[in-house]
Amino acid sequence: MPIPIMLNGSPRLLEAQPGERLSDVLRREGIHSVRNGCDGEGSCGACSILLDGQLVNSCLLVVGQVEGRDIRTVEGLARPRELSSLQTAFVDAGVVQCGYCTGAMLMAVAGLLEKVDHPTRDQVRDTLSGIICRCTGYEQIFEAVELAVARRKDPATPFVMPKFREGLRYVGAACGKVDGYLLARGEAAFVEDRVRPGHCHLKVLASPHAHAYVRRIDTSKAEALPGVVAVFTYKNCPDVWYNPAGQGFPEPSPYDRRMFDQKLRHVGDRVAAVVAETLETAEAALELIEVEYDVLPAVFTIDEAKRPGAPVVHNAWVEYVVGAPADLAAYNQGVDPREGRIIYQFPIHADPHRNLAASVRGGIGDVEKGFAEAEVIHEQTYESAQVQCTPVEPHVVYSRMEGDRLILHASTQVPWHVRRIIARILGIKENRLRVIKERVGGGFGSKQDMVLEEVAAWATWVTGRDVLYRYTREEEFVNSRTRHVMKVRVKLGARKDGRLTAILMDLEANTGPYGSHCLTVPMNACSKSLPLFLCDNVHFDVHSYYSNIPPTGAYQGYGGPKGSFALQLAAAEMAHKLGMDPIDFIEKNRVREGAMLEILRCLGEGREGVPQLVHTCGLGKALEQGRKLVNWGVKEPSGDPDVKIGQGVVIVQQGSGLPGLDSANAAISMFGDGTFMLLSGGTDLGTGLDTVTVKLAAETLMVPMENVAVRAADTDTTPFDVGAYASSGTYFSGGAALNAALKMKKMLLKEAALMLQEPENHLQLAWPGVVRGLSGEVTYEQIARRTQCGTGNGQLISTAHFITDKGSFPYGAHFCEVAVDTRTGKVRVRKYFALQDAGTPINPELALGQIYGGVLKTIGHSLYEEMIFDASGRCLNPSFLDYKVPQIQDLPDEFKAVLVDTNDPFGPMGAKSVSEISCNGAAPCLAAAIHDAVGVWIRDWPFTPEKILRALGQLD
Amino acid sequence: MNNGRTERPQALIDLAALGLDTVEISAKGVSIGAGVTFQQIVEHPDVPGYLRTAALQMVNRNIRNRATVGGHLVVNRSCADLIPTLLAAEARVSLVDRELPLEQLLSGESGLILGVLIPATGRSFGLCNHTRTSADISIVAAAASLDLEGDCVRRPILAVGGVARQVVRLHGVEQALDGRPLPAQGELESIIAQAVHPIDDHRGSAAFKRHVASVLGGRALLDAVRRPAIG
Repeated sequence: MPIPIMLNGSPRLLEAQPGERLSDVLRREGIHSVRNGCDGEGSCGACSILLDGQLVNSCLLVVGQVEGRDIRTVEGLARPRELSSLQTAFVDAGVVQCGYCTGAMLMAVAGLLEKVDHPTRDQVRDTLSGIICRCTGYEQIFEAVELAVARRKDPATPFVMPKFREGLRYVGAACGKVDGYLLARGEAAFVEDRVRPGHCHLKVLASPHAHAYVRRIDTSKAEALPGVVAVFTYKNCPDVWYNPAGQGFPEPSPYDRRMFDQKLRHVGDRVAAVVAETLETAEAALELIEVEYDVLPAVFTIDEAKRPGAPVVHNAWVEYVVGAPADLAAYNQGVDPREGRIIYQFPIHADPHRNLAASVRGGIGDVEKGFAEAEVIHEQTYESAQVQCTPVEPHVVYSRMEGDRLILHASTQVPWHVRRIIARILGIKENRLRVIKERVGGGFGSKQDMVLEEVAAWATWVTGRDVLYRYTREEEFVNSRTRHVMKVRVKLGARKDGRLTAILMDLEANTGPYGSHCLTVPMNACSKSLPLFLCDNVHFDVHSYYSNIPPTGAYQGYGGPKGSFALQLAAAEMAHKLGMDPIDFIEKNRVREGAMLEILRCLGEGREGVPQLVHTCGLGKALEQGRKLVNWGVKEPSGDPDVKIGQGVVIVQQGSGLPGLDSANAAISMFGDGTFMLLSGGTDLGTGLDTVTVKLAAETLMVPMENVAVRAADTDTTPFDVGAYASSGTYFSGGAALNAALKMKKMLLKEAALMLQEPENHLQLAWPGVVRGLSGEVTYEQIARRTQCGTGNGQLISTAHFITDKGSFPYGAHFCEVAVDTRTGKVRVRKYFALQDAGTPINPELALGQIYGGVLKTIGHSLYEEMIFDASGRCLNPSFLDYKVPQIQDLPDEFKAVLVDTNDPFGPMGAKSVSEISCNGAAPCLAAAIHDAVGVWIRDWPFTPEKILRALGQLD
Repeated sequence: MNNGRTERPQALIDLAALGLDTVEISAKGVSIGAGVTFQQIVEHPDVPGYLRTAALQMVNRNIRNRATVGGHLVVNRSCADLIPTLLAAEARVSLVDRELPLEQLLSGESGLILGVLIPATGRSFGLCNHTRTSADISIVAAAASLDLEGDCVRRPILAVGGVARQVVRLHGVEQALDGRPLPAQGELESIIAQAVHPIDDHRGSAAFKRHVASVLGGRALLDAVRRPAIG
């Protein structure tokens, strides 16, 4: 039944079945920008279109409802290829990060600007109130709209932002984003845009039980259903144990899972998979699989998991690659074969038969002595709920064969780890497998693990068919990754003058059903919080437990936010006990330039770490500027006797990749006209990493940015990189690109020396792409033609890697002011200021966006977000309707990210990392401010109105 | 795209062509067609302010652009944004074959809804709601209307959402408050708290919802007295 519509100004007949969703039909018509983040619930807004000029969710319309109506999408904004002023404003102001919601955002603002010439902030907020963006933190959108308004009058209106480095053209200056054009046009760029006609769908049967064995499984009826291509269970999948965590090999995470296992360890765990010609057939086939379970008692909390005699999540046969304990044979005696195996690459001090997934302890000095010297002691336990990363694009993979090679189009942070792990599971060589990282619609750590890729890869390898496997939002909640749940006891000792004499951090983590990052996330909670205070006596104890909650893993900050919440809030409480201004307490104890961080020796991710010298630290400036911005100590009253005002301050840090563990590579080849192709291993998740690497190359080679094209994160065509995690992008992947450019520079000088007949030390690179000597100059084009001709030395291709044993720590101070309604418990964030030292911010506008995004996400964790479960372990709120993430109307009334200038000696052109550190401040800062407002310490995030009312004694 | 948590309907019939999409204002009151969207109410220059405020409690603009008054009444959720206010306004519903009070429709009557009639009464209104995030649906919501004679409250109406399967009018509270000055906040809240019986669920404990309902109900009534929106 063809349905006539106007689509982006042209008449179109939509071919559709009655009752089809408009969003599905539009995507089939090639309108890629209509995205799906909530499975047709209407709660994410990623499918927004303008329908007769009104912004609506196209997933909530049935195609018949739009007959004869006018539909506009972002595909119609740029004509024919030139971006509209609105699109360029979005790119220039830095609000295009992952790009998954960009089409929706652009149409929202486009619709507003048709009705209002100069919209107010409230109008912008209202128009975007239905669209979820997890990357940008929304704040810069107001600036983008201002710029778009100005450009309607004068298209040449520049985006004005101060440069951070005089003498550099691109590094430290706002120059747009190299994939901004692609994303702002809503072009095919994500995994789901790569599907080909005739592909199959993969769906997984989820365990209804938190803990059970499969007693009997019969897939014969499902297999007999017409359209079903294959069914997989534990009986016909590879018998390989692995860990899906994307970490450098050999990984500290235990190999404790199989593709499908006879034992199920959480509600949602994989029981079986169906590959079918259509999604409907796959779903129908799942219903036909007969399963009988032996249900086991389950454990959900740390206290339940560690109780003697508790049900054991992995009562498994244990093996060690190196470092097996002497009593291993006895340990393995009598193990039930249904429990499977665990293989440790090296000891992580685990005792899985007692649910202990990993442990570590260490410290410096003597804490007992430190506590004895203390005049005031503070001791408290800090807890947190389970939160999910919620990228708007859920996990998705598309796999296909190309001859005898398997190709994966993946939305991943770790393409090389995915290739390595899958090659091992499938029993094939790594060169049979290609992983192409497409544009990623948000990752935030959840895509640091191989979450679904191996099942699709296996399905394609066995059936030869193209397979699309895409999580629903519910699966994203219960079957991808979440932040490790932690319980942190902190004990501080201090002299009356505020000097800390001892710090004890006793940290317990709930790693869930599998041990992805079970050692390193909780350990990082210590290593990214303890070094902020210079104290001679420090001890930490980490225990990580298995349980039957949905899987945990990496989430932006990687334990840092939890450790920081505990330690910074404890510090605020100590300052209060001492009667000190929290800023004075911080100043008395904080890390400074020149400090040697001895504590890092015992925080080395499963091996000995390296103490690091703090070369640069922007904390002093950050505290000074922040104090003024927030007007510290001056709280404007609310005017409502029920609403009290409070302020908070904390300091934060992170690292820049993992020195001694991470490595990155890059290559640059010269084209015949003297332009360059940069092949970077780095994985850009929307963070701007591809822009970082291009800028570093262009800056070094003295050419315009457009003379450096970039291809990245494709395991066939670009060199190895560990991936995007641990805040490594700028430092490591950027470092590799810089090194490749420096090598190319040497090659250019050498060739030019031959051509100019001058010694190399007389020559220098000069703008825009020439080598200048004393006698004359040659252009890059002349060098390229010369090297690539029949008598030349060959095309110039440089390759380089980046490794280091030097750490580089970004620092920051966060300030906030809250208004707490003492009768409803509701917290409104009036002010939030995040002042951070990112070294040289290579993309300053995108760095600000990273800060805004990280802060707003963690304001969400602190105030609103939590996965809620029933007694059987089923998640009750696996949707954006019930799991509430902050949206534009939740922005702090006054919200400002500030880049504090420092110049790092080791990072590329002075840069440090910027994103993850932004997540470490909100929880303790808001909790301290809530105390300042109403006098209660809430030590359990989220700080819901209910918890605040209970603490205030308002609830029975 | 079906998320598996909702049934796929057998058939969908779009009612847009029925032309029930106008707001008419007369001396008798406001007549809102069943097909009028929340955003139409927000943008209409002449609807009473309290109705606009209630429509804006549905913060999500994408939904406001599509959600209709008729659909809202049919779905009849406890978290409904407009229903508490419509109850407080003693709205009547016109069905294709008859007209009846909204409260009667919500209690189980059915029929094709043509529109809602909100009588012009000159009464004072107050309303407020509690959500987790701004774009959340209400966890608890309250709307009140009343007449004032000197200090005395006459014929107060208090409707509360989030404390039962659907939005309810607290008739007992209304009777207790009728004909005297509004009691002090503490007493007012205690009267309301005794009249609501919410359940524990993932949106909050019963104790929390009862407390918030009492606070918001009290605020709605106090607002109607102190800084009323006039209907």
